[in-house]
Order: sequence, then C-alpha cells, then structure tokens
Amino acid sequence: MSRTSTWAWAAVAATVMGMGAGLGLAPTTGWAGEPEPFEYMPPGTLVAGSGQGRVDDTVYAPGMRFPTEEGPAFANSQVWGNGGGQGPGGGQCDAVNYDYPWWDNYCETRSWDMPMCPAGIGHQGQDIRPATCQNAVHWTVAADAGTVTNIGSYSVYVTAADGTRYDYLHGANQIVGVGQALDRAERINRVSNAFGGTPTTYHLHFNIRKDVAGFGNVYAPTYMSLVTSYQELFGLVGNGQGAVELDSSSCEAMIGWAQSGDDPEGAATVLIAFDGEQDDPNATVIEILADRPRPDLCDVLGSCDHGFEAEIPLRLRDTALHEARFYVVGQNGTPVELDDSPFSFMCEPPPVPAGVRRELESPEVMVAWAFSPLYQVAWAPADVLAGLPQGNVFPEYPVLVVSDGDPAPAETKTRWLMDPGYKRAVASEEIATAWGLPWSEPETWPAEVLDGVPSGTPLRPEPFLVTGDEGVVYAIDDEQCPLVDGQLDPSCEPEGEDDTAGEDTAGDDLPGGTAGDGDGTGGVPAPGATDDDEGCACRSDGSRPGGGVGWWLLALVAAGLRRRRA
Amino acid sequence: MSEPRRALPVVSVVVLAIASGGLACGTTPPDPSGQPRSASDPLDDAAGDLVARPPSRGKVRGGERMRRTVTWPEADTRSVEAYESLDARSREAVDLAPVPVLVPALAEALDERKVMQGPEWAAFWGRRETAESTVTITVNASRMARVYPGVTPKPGPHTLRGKEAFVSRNEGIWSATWIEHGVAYDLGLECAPVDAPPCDDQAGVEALAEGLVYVGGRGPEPKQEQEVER
Repeated sequence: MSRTSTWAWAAVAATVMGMGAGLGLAPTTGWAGEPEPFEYMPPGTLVAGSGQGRVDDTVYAPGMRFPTEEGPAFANSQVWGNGGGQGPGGGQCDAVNYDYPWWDNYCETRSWDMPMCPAGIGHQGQDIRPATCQNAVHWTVAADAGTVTNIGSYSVYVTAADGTRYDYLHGANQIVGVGQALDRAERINRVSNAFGGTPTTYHLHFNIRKDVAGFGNVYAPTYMSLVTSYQELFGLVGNGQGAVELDSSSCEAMIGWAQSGDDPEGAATVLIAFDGEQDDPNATVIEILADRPRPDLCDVLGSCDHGFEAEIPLRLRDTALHEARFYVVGQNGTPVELDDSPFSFMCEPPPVPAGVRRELESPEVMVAWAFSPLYQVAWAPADVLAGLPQGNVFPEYPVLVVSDGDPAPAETKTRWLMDPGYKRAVASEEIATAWGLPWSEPETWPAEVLDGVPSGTPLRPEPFLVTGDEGVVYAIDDEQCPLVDGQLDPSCEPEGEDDTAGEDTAGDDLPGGTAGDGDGTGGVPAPGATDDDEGCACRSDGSRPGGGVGWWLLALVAAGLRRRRA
Repeated sequence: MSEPRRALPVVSVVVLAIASGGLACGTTPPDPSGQPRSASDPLDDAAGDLVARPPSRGKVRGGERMRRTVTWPEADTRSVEAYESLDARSREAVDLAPVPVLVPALAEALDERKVMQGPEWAAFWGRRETAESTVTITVNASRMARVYPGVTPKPGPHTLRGKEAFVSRNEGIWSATWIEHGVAYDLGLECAPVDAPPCDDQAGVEALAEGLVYVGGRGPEPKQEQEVER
C-alpha cells in the first residue's frame, strides 16, 4: 500500500510535547521525542473493512487554515481505530492512534445519504485527533474568516463569505457566539468528546459543507484540504523548480516548465492561480501537469517531459487585466512559485455568433451537460447580449436518442438530441463530442414516439456559451419554428434547411448518419445576421417559440428516462 | 453585430512582469541551466512539439463558481407573523438576504431564533431547551454553487417540499438538502440526548422541512443573478 510522505518535517512535535501531565494517556512512541515525518495515506484509502472511500485528490477548500491551532494532529478513524467500536481493541489513547500516517475516513461505512460517496452513503467528514489524548486542551480555530452560524449541543458551524460552511463537532468550552464574526485562525473551542450526553473519543469531527452543483449543499471531501492546510501550517515547503516562459506565452496559452524535486523524472503538477495567490480562497486556482516533451530540458534537468502549455480560460478573455501565478507542487509541502511568475494578460473574447440566446437556468444544467464555466463560457458586453433575441430555456440535461425504426446499422443510425418540443439531428460524431453527447451510447426510443416529435434545426457544430457582467449564462442557438398544436407551424421554413423542417417525417425514413442537409453548418446564421433573419423566416416579432403537445409529451418521456437512469 | 465592444481600449495581450516591475515582453526568460538563451537555442525548436498538442485545460481547485438564479417567491406567500417574531437584527438580516429566507414555523416554539446573512448565503439558527432535551435547528441557503468537472449529478432519493432531497445523519445530527427557489437549502436538526424527540426518527426532520415558512429576502436583482464569477 502506498503512502505519501513528507520528509521536510519541521520541528513540530517538540513544541507540543512540553505538556507531560494530562487527563489522557500520552502516546509513548513516534512523535514523543523525535520529530517525525508527516505521512498520509492517499485520499480514498480507508482502513480495511471500513467501506469504500472516494478517490479524489481535489482540494475542495483551497487556502483553508488547518482547523486546530497547533499540531501535530492525526487524521484517522475513530470507529475503526484502537478503542473504536469496530476497531482491533485497545484504547483511544494508544500510541498507534497518535502517529502517522493519516487515514482518510470520509465515506467510511454509515447508513445515511452521502451523494458524493461511491456507495451513496457514508461518513460525512474527517475525524482528527489532537496532539495529545487529552480532553479540552487543544484549540480549534476558524478555517476561514466567517460567521458563527450555529452552536449546538456538540457542534459549531462557521460560514465563510462564499457560503462554504466548516463544521466542528464534539468540542467543549466554546468562546464564540452565534452571529459572531471570526477572523481566519480565530479560536472557537477545545477538542473534546461531547456527543449529546454520551461521550465519544477525544477528537474533532470536521466537515466542509459546500454548495456543489448537481447536489446542492452537501458534505464535500475534506481530506486533501486538510493535508494541504497541514503542510501550510507547519511551513512544509515543497521541493521543485521551474519557470514561466513569458515571451512564448500569449492569449492562446501560458507556457513554461516545471520539475518536482520529489519525483524528478515524473510529471510535475503545476498550479496556476488567477487573480490571487494559490492559497487565496478568492483566487481561481487550476492544476495542470507539466508532462510535455521538451528536448531542450533533457540535459539540464536529467529528463525531458517537463513542459506545460496551459490554455487561457475563455471566461478570463474579458478585456480585463488578469494575473496568473504559477507554482510547482511537491508532495511534501506547500507549492513553490516558478521563476518569472506572475504572467499578466488582457485578452479579447471571441465574437458572439448570431442566433438566439437560451438561458441555462441553473448550475445543475451546467453540470448535466458537463460544461465548464471557466473554459466554455465567453464574456460579452451587455449591448451584444441585448441584441440577441431570447429563445426558450436550454434543455435541463442532454438526451441523445435513436429510433428503433431506423433501419441503419446501430453505428450509423441518425442521432437526435431531444430539445423540448423538437428533435434535432446530430450530424456527426465530432459534433456529438463537441457537445459532450454519448455518440456510442444513445437511448433507443420507439419510432412512434420519435416520429411524433417535430424536427428542429440540426445541432450546431459546437456549443457557444456566453455571459455578461450581469451573469446569466446563455447558449447561442438557432431559433426554431414555432409549434402549433405540438407540430411545426406549416408556414415556417427555417433558413438554411431544406429537408426536415416543416415536415414530420424525420426518424425512420432518414438515411442513417446523414441527418439534416449534410452541410455541416448546423444552421448557424451568417455573421451579421439580424434578428429578423435568424433561423425562422416566418417570425419577426422575437417572441419565444411556443410549447404545445409535443413539448409535454417529450417532457414526460424524458422525465421517465431520467428517473430510470437515476 | 457580434463584436464585443467596451470603452476600455483592448490590447490583444499584455504581458507584464509584475514581479520585476517592468514589461516582460521581449525579455529573455532564464534558461533552466542559468545561461541566457540564444536564437539558436534548442528551446526554440521545442515549440514545434508544444504546438502538436492543444493547450491543457486545468482542473479547478475548489470548483468553478457559478451563481444560482434565484426565483423569488410571491410576496403573498411570506409569513409576516414569523418575520415579526424575529429580533430587529435578524429582521435586518432577512431584509438584506440575497436568497429567500426559510425558517421554522412558529409552532416549533423555539426559545431563540436568529437569522444571519452573507454575500452569497443566509442562515437561520434556533434553539429550544427543556428539562428533557435541547433541540437546535439550522437552515442554510446558498446561491453560490461550485461546478466540479467529473462530479455526476444525482437526484435526491427523497422528496421534501415537492423537491428531490437528500436526508442524512451526521454524528447524530439530521440533515436534509434540497434545491428550491433556485437556491440550495439545507436543514439541520440536532438533539441532546442524540435520540431525543424529534431526533428519534427521520420523520422529525422531514416534518420540520415541510413546515418551513418563507419570511423574506432582499428580492429580485435583475442584473445580479446567476453570475459566473470573474
């Protein structure tokens, strides 16, 4: 079983071990006399037999302050550890409980809903033993500046400005009150064993509660946020080097190289922090790998694959000045900033194509389509957005189907995207890929259902999402012919379409794999098109396409399919 | 018609070496060897390798921020009685809240009731103490979602307030989560002793969720909704 170790451990333990007397039994080995390297098991690795962890190295709370004032601290299972109800025996103060490595226990076996756990149920946070097995000695502190939003019988919640909530359970001697504003690292209470009357072991149960698109407010994985904040707490600086190549960087990409001192021949992880330091909770921080072949580095670094080339996020091409800071991540400490970091850029957004703007109504829609707010949403000035007519709302989630009446072989059956009220041909696998649609795994719908759905314009070759300073996210799309009693208005003839619109014959009589007119344009109006000539020649009032029987039929069928998938 | 326009003059790209305090364009980045690069440096040849692969997209730490679009309830659904039961500071917090504030109905007979708010959230806290038990209730509402690539959405297996919901129990503390008015809500119910009513059954937290009432908020902001943070 692999471990991740920190060899650059600073003299931490010595500062903690001054307290000889205490209520608990002090551990006798490991950290008591000698500084001990910090080691942690990989995220998602739980104690054997304690369930299935979530293998996820995401830092869900970047910049978080470690939630105990001092160290060392020991993240591990209470239930499956020594002295726990499912443990091997012994007592809670056994030295093995107060030693490295850390063990993840998010998703450890429990019986309640936990949507981010592989089993759908599990333990909501991370158990952390303080430096010594003593009651009400060790302070907990605020992981971020925020407001105390709860003090329960054995819980304290601190909510940060962005809504992230940090939960501290089983503490005693609160020195904070509900509604109180806290600074980062301000004291809250002492680690104890409070549990509503029946004591537990001395530990801090720590949760990070976040608004995660697709779920809502849920308990997020805590482990890697704790690891990075622990390294930060003790000033464990990583080992690595690299540089940003400023004169090669542009609005297309940021270029440089990086090498980890812990794994000199492997691909180094590079952090790029936009508009803040890497540990600033308000910064946008991305991770990429420096793994590109660079012959020029071979002799100098002893290995070659250390280049990186990172895309400038589309969302940051907004005419504003942005700063990007670059760091290389070593396993054993905080990231090291690269030479010639930062890189500042001010880039123009791409032009907005003609069409109608269709609102993505929630972050759940973004997730369901696997769109990235950072990389796939462009910025546009308000007057450009206002100049686009508003279409109906964007589909809540993608449904790609084929007809069971389509005689073509499975791989060449016509694929349709079900768009409320319409079915829209997906002309090629490339287009499906651009939209994130599962080309090889379409759902099969009965021909009698699919044939009854009017055909809209073919899906555009790729999505174009846009937002303005006001923030609503839109997809730019074709305007569709309005529906009359669930069928296309017979007087409507979409421009650029010559085969499907206006008829209700699509589906089993279309040649497989050649949906639409085959011109591959997806009905994208020409640049410079006006509102009146976008998509539908019969309409000029800019009103939204109507609903009708077809919409409701499709909604019902789609809802049923969604339930089945769930 | 599609060209973005802004009063600010836009430069295609401005590269500034902030650390060095000067323009970085045209400066020579240090070679890993510490030697200055020349035009014949193999680094220049390496550009061909880099072009062969498109630039990488990163994984965002902490998730990609996306503000939710709040759908404000009709004014006539507001419980004036519950609003007026709050202290002045809490009423002020309700008035400033960027999300519709839900609180337990007065029938819950809590001894203390507080509402707090932040730029992206609102929270209710209430407590009832009797000789037999202490009950603490929390309600949190968030409009700032985080999008995590690779996180597959799941519908909650329960139904609360007509919405898909998750119901969990964290160290004895009941928790229900759902999305309503476009906002992510969660309700917490903590008892001491842990299994004292209403914590002795899942029905307790479900009934509490169903009974939440809307007391207000700062209302629609036509130009501030569902923002993807810059």
